[in-house]
Amino acid sequence: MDGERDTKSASPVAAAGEHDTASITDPARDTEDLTAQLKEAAARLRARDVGDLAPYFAMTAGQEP
Amino acid sequence: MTVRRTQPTLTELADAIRSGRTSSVEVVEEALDQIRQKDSSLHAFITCTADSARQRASEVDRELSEGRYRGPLHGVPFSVKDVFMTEGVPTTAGSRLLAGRIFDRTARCVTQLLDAGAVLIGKTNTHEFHAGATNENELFGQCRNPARSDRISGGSSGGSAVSVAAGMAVFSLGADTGGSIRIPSALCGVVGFKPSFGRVSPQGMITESWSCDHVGPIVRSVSDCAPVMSVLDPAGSWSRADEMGRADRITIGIPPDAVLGDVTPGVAAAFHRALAALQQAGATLASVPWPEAELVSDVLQVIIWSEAAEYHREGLESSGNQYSAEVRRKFTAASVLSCVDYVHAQRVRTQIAMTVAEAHKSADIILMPTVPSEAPTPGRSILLNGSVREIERVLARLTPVANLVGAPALAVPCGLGADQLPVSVMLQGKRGQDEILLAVGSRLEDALEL
Repeated sequence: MDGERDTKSASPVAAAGEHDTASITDPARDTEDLTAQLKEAAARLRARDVGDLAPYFAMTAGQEP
Repeated sequence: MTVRRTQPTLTELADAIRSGRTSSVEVVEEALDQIRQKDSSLHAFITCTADSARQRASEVDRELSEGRYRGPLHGVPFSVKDVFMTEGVPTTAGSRLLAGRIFDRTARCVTQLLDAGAVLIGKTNTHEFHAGATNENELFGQCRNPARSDRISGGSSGGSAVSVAAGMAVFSLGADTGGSIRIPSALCGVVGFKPSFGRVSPQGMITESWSCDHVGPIVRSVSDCAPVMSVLDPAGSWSRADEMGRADRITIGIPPDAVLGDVTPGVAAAFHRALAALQQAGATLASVPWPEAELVSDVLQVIIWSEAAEYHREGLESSGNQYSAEVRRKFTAASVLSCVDYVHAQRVRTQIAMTVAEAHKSADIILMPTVPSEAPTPGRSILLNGSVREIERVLARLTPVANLVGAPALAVPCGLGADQLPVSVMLQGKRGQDEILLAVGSRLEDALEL
C-alpha cells in the first residue's frame, strides 16, 4: 500500500492538522443565514412561471422542453 | 498587460521525453523538487506519492527505450484532486471524515491517465468535499496562491491549479460543480477546462452534486487540453480540434452588461483585451441574451445542496461531528427544502437551458470574464467596487451556467490585473462541441501572445 508509505515519506507535505488555520473563519454562525437564503431562493423559484416545462433531466433525456 | 508563459507545456515536455532529450525520471524529479521547495507554504498537496512516482517514471522510461510508446502523456507527471479514488493511496476529499481512508479501487479517469503512461505525483488539496470556492481547508491548510501567498487559490480544485501554476505538476485533474476547475485556474493564472457533461466519467469520484459535477483538466496551455482529453474521452475528435474551430468563421456572443458588469477594472480590461484579440483574428461579435446571475445562483444552490445532502445523509447522521462547521451547515441547510422545491428548481433549470440555446442561435461561443475579481485575501467577504459582498457568491457568479446546462467552458489566462495578480476570461460553447471551444481558445491564447 504505497499511499501510506508516501504520505509519511513526503517531507514537504505536512501531516494533517499541522497547517496554519488562523485565517480560516468560523462560519457556523452563518447556519441560519444559509437556511434563510435557501428558503428565499426556493420561494423566488416557486414564484416563477415555468409553464408546462419538464424538469431539466427530462430534457437531457431527449424530451422536448 | 499579458504575461508570457515561462514553464514548458505538457506538449513540449512530452515531446522532449519521447525524443530522449529528457526522461520521465528527470521531469518527475523536477516536479518533486518544486514540491519540496514550495508546498510547505502553498499547501497544494494532501498526499505526495513521491516513491511510487519515481518507480513508475523509471518503468515508463524503460518502456520507451524498448520501443513501447503509450501516447502523448507518456512519462508526464500529473496530480489529481483528492476526490478521485486511488487504490493504495489515501483519498480524503479534504475531509476529516475520510482522512487516511484507502479505497480498493481507482477512479476510471485516473486509471485512463495511468494506462496512458502518465505518472501520478500526488493528490491535491480541496475545499472539504469540494463544497466551496475558497479552498480554505481547516484540516489540510489553506491553499495559497503562487502569485501572492496572502491571496487565496480559489477552489474547490485549488490544490490542482496551484500544483500546475507552481510547476509541481505538468497537468492536473480537477472537478467542477459550479466553477471549481475554472475559478482556481483563473485566480492562479492557468488554463482550466470543464468539458460537456458526460464526456469524462465521474466513476470513482467522491461526488458533490450528481447532476452538476464535471471532471476536467487544469493545464498550462489550451493546446495541452487535447492530449489529456484524448485519453479521458477517446471517442472525441480532439486531434482535429484545430481544423474544427477557425476563429475567422465563428461568432462570439456577448451577454448583456447586467451579467458582465460589476467586475474589477483589471478584469474588465482583460475582457476587452480578449474581445479585441478575437475580433482581430476575424471573429464576428453578437449581443446575446443570458440567464440572470441571481436566478442561476438560486437554481444552483437549491440543486447542489439538495443533492449533496442526499449523498451525505448517512455520514451526517452517523458522523456529523467529522464535518467542519462550514460544510455541515451547507449540507444540512437543504433540509428546509422539499422534494417539490428540488424538482421545481430542475424545471427552472430548463428555462436557463432554453435561454442559453437562444444565445447560441446567434453565437457559437459566449465570452465573459471567468471570475469578477483578482484573487482576494482569505475570509468570508470581498470588497468589490466599493461594496462588501459574500466571497463565494462573487467568485462563482459567472461560472455555474455551464454546470446547469452541461456545456463546455474554458478559463483562459488573460494577463495581470490589480497587484500583478492573474485575470482570466471564459469561453463557453455548445454542449457536445468541446473540440470547437478548444480550437477557439487556442486561437485566443495565440492572439493574446501568451
